[in-house]
Amino acid sequence: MPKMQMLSSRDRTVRLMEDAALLCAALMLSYVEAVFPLTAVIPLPGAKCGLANLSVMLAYHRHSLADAAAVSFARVLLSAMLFGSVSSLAFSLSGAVLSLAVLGLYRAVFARFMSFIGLSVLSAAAHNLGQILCAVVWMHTLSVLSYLPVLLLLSVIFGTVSGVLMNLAVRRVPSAAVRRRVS
Amino acid sequence: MRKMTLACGVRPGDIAVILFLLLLAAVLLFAGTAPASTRAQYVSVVTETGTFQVPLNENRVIPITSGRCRLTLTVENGTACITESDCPSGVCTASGAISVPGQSIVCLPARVLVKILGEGGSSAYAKDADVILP
Repeated sequence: MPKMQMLSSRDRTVRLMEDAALLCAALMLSYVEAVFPLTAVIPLPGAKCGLANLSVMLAYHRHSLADAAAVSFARVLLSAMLFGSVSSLAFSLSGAVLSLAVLGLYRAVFARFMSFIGLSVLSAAAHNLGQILCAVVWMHTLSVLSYLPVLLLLSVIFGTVSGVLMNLAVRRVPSAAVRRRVS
Repeated sequence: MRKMTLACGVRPGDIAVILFLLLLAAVLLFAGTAPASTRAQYVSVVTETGTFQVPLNENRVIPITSGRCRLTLTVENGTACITESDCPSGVCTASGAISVPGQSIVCLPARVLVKILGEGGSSAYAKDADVILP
């Protein structure tokens, strides 16, 4: 992984374009989740597939944590403006910060013994933990903690789904380095 | 070292993480719910302005105004549910009726939490009720 200052201006442009494309994909996935909410099928408040996390993980895999953070925060801000509200922005932000923290540990710690499935499940769990902590502050009560087990179960299910998708995606989406050698 | 992988790129750490989180969820679930022998006695309602409790065995309709939302809590035949809400998400009305100690309905936009309490009005997490409605 080349350091930021070592990138040529062409590489920096490629990286910017890829992050922008991943942000578009993340917004599309958020839009799909807003149009077909999972809560219509499973009547659990806040239940979401978290497919937009695929884009964030891809940005991390192909570039760095900084790119993943840029994609994640831009997506959270834009989707709150387009389909959400002030309270949903606060919840999404607190979830995004914790799940990025988990993502940041992947290469150093988790990559030795787990694939994107473990990473995606862990970051989904971190996202839900962040949201519950935000709800504790928002509602001024610890009672919402009793909802954490349900959210953890959901994060295992949907984290596994997006982890499998991610394992398949990294093999199929060609890396920027490969494309540079070809062109 | 050769990476150990199974189908779909599953590696041992993935299974460990999944099992750990399932175990954690189960432990938290049992820690959070009151013992099964406890009978449901009260409905605790936490709103933006305060907390109150109503007995579960009396049928009544309680209007709640909290945040920018107006909700209607209906207590009927030992169950409690939010029957009406003008909040945009509609999650609280979709949550349905609750009747077992430890169950709760949360409405985040209105900052309302409705929870069933057992004997003595206590459960593992809801010890913050301070007003009892006559």
